[in-house]
Amino acid sequence: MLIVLGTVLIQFFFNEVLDIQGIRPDLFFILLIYLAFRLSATQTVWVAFLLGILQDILFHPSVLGLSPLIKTFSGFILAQLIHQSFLRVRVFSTISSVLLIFLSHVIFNWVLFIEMPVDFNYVLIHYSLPEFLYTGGLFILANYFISLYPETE
Amino acid sequence: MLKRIIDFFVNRRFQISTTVLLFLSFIIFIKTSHPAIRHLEIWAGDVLAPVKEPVVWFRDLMETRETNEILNRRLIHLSQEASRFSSMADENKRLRSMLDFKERSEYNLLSALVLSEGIHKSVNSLLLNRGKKDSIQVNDPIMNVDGVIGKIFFVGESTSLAQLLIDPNSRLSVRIEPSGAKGILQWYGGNRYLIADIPNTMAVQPGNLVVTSGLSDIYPGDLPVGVVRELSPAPDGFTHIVYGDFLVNFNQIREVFIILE
Repeated sequence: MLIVLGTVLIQFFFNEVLDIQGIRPDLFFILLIYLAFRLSATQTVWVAFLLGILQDILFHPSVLGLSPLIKTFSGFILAQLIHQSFLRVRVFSTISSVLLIFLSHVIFNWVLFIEMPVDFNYVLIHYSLPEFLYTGGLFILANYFISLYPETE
Repeated sequence: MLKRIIDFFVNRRFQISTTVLLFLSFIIFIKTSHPAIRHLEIWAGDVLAPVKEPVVWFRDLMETRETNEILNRRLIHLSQEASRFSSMADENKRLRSMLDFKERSEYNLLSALVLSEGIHKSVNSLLLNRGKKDSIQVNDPIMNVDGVIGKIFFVGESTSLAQLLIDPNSRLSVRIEPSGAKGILQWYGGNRYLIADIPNTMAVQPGNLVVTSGLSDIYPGDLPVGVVRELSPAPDGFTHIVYGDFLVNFNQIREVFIILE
């Protein structure tokens, strides 16, 4: 509960402090990954939806609905993958989570730019990749200190 | 029968929850302009503003020294320009009075703090600490000392939401000086924009200033917007596509000015 509250507070109050040239990490997604390994499948998708709604209301109300859509889908994928035995190996669970972070950023920006005369590669290089690297980097750092699976902490 | 239905929902609660939540998210996303959704956003802004404002105030306090230095330098530069323009203004006034022109009025500007920006670089709206109680209305333009930033698109009691020019849905009627070529500006990613359908006959050059045209009901004319960087021939062969950079640094907006009617 403290971690959830702490993440929300950090993302809300210190969003500008975390800014690097306009790039900010998606701490809610990192939180979702950790909660997915500690909650049931149904709880995970509900948490994903609520985190997405909260994120959109707080930060990008002009596209309200997009974050819960992507996070709910990500929560669904996480819930399906978690019980796979190979994910018990730390490396594989980290790689799977990082790939999911990458996919979510790519899809988010692709949907936003879909009606604009902008090349997909430009969106990928200037938006999706920097955001993924920042969020993914923070996730890997957090994962070094806190294991994804609660029983191995 | 009822027990079987209940068992069905209980056994498949994960799949059913996922489907319902995905469907709900999709509906919210495509109905994002619905008044009920807008009211929810503004309600959240009104609730969060008293919490966020002290944090914003503290952050601005920390940046005061640096901001002061920047402003002092700008002040010196502007003072020099002002004295140069003063003599030009006197001459202009004299010539205008000779032609019996009316005096132009100054804009009524209201400053506003930015309470919240986005997480994603590509989603560009701002939550401001001004609302209905400050006489803010929908479509009031917003700008800073560098140029036009966007417009208000939803107003709450004490907060409002602003749509930036760097939003995929944003469009702006502009004029390119000195040729006078007019077009519709749209964001092109990063700090760039494009203006399509500029006739080949218009003498547009890199370095030209782009300003608001004044043809819109929303933005007054002659507000600075950007600078032309390059031109590219359009497929039709009769027009150009003009590419440029915005004058405003959208990564560092802390305070804006709202142009009141």
